[in-house]
Amino acid sequence: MPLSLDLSTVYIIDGFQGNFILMAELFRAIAINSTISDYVANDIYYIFGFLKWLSYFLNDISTIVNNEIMLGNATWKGWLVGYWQRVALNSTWLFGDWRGAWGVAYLWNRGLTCIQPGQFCYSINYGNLTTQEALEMVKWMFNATSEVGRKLSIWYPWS
Amino acid sequence: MRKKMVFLLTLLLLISVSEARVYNVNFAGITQAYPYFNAYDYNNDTNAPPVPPSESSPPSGAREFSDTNYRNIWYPEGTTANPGYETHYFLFKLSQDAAVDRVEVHWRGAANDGNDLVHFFAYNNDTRSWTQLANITGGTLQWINYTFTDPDPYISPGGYMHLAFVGDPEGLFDSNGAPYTDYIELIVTVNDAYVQTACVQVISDNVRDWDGIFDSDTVSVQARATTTGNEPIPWYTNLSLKAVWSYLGSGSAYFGSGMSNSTGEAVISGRPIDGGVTDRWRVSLKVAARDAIVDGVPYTGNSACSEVSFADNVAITPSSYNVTLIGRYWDNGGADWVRIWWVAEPSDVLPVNIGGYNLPVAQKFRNWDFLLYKIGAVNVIGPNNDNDNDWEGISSNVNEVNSEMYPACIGPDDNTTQPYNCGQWAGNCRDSRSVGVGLLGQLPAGCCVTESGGTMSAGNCARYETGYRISTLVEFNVPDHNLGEPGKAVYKICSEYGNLTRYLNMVPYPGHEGDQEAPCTSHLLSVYLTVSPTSTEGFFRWTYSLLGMDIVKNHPHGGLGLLSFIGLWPDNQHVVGLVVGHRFGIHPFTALVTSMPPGTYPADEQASYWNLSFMQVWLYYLLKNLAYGIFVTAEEWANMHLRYPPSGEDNITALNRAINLVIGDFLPYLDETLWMLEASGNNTIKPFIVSTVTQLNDTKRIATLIRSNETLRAEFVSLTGTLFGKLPELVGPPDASTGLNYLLKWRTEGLTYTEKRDTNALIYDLLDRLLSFAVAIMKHLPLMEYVNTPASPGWNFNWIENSTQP
Repeated sequence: MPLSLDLSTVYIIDGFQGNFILMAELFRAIAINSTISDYVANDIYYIFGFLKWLSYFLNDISTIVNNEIMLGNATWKGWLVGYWQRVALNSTWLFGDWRGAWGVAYLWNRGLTCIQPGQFCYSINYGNLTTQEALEMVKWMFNATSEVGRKLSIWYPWS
Repeated sequence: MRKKMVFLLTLLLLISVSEARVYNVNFAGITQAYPYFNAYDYNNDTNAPPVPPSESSPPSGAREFSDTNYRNIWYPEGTTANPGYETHYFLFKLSQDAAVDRVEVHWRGAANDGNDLVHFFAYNNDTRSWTQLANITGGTLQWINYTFTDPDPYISPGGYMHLAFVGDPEGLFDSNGAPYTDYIELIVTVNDAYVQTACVQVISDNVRDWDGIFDSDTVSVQARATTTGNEPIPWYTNLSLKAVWSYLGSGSAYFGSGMSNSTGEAVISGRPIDGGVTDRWRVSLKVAARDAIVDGVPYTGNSACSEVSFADNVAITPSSYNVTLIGRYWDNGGADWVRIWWVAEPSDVLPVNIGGYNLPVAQKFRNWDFLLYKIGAVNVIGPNNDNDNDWEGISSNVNEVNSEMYPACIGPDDNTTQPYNCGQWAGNCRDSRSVGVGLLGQLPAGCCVTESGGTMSAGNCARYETGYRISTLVEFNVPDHNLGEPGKAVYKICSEYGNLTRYLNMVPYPGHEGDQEAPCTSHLLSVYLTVSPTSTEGFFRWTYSLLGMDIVKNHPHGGLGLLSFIGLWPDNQHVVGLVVGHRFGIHPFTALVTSMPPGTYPADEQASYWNLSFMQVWLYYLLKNLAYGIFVTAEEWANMHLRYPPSGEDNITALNRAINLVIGDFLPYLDETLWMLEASGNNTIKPFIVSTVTQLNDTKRIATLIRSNETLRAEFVSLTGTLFGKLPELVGPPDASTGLNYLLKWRTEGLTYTEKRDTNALIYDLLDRLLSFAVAIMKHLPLMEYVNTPASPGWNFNWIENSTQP
């Protein structure tokens, strides 16, 4: 038995729901487990340390890119200019149009259509369910943030 | 109660009086140079051995065993002209008689023939005569075991013991009684009061702290056996290499042995694998003096000075792999289970040599074997999935195919029995391809088709059939030769196509995997013929003949186009990885796999067990292994500055160069896969879209299971804890003294401008491809809604029905 437009839409929404659930579980783990929220508070220091060295590394890469382009390296020009051109030329296919016939807009359009009364996703309550999973994630995200925030003054005291 | 007390007291008494050490004295590892116990062969006229001239000498006329026979006492060389009562004579120097409480003799051997005898004698120093203690009859190997509970009379004042095994020919005309000795050992119990401590000193070695070696590498150490007073002990027989670990489980094993020379020095070498030491991160390598009797002195190796470490925290990586991975598999046929079997034989695993030195925990793979076996999941809800319990080897769509009989081997080593031998394209590679095609023109040399440039080119398979392990990361790639070969033959005979992409593009989906025939006009013998080759899949399964000639030879084990694996691989028991690839050029799939202990996953044919509830078992190991992988990676990276210091032979820049090799290996391959997916048009892009939404659907299934099952939920919390708890170790401190920061710092400062530029170029090239691929996907997505022909399949296309076997 093949798929259908309705089912494929449900499958795509499933992907969102699945990620909401996994992220909610992750935030929940931080929120309910004091050891883990301690870890995360401590991690902040290290994340910024990492950002320092990642920036150092990326800065070095941009220097190389800039240098190659200044040197007139056609391949590199092709890549860098090519990215912009490809995105610009295909923006309708990538991002969409006003009618929602293409791109990401098409995906939203399909989802929106499907959750309307009388449509398939409506009949299986997918609009509500997706919202609920998204809100669950947001709830746990705030719970986790407040747990970590509460511990910042312990990990990073004034003096 | 009282009885019990008496018993306990007796036991205690027994233990306290029996303070003794037991030695096994044998010839293992000993050569003729060894002065303290010897084996001889001599002939005599009577069956009673002659009285030895002195406590330390054998009878006159005795011939010492040859050097080869010494190693493990063994049948000495041929008998003399007058064999008579040929005798094997062993002279041991044990310890002074007062020290020795008990001696067990274990001899294994045979008489010359059926009714001949072997008499076992020991020399009694008190009576100055030989005592016969045991006999055996017959030419089959048997043991003589004899215990001296009061060995004093049999040990000379200097500690010598003489033993003789006299061959006795029986029968009127039988003059040959030469015995056969297979093995001899003495189990000697020595009173502790006489036991001294042996120590070792390391002079030099070939492994450093935090080094990394293969389990098959030879570790070699020059060491010295000494007394506690630092005096060398010559001829110390029992020196060993020892591996000790206490990280991720503890244990130890001996893996090499040696004997000191006349100055007390020894070169001890051995391979960790021979002691079963493999796949371990932090092993201490030591030289150990183990219990031995040397020149009449019983030594013990149970003191701190008896074991000296010469390299700590050594990583010992396997020199071969044989790993089974179980996982979820997503393609346009649905969400199913998959079993993967990856085998890299010793010759397939090479070190990564940077600047003349083999980098620790860095390996290059080539010519490995691979089997990917899809099993139709039972009771998976969803319309778009293959039938329950349909089995498919990657090579074939035949449900009855037996993976053991028809493994889809990729890059097997044996080119005499298997048609694929990538890496050897010069000369003998795939000669079968040119059979019959000679009339149409010779196929170009080489065994692979790589044509992202649009042309058919030769022999890039060695470039693609590769893989690396760097630290806890493993990746490997399969080349496109299985796909390319039949494809190449087809478009060589069918004038419509001309190259692989045109062939993949122009033949509609059911003509690749299904019951349709690819349209074909062949310019054969100067005549244009309309011929009907089978589907692409058919080319893999059957030989296609035309006018009696085999045009396209089957590749029954083939059909896999490109494939790549990337995963976290801290050790063979804890693997998590992603596989992407496609079959028959048009069947893209992705799979998430993990290692599972034997017995935790069903056998292939256990249909009902491969169902949705198996997902919980599988997820448990997935989460566990992921946490384990993060843990080990963090511990390893927290010590990156020690494993790969800023300078020296295994420096951090060498590691960065090895990472560049991985990038250079993996990215062009990924580029090729994406190119193939994009270039084959509807036949690959549409199935890719279907397999992606199938995977999204399964993602929710996985997420829901983790949330609803308490065990899995707890494992998920534990995984989260490991991730955040180990993050500081993974990235390292902000001063970049170790961890990922250290790697990035030296990636920037250590590599040359050209190296950095060329690696970045590969990344930009891939980005370019990814962007182009994303555009292709997004362009095709809305079209899935409107068209539903075999040439342009959409959502409503029945992939399974249209893949019916021809």
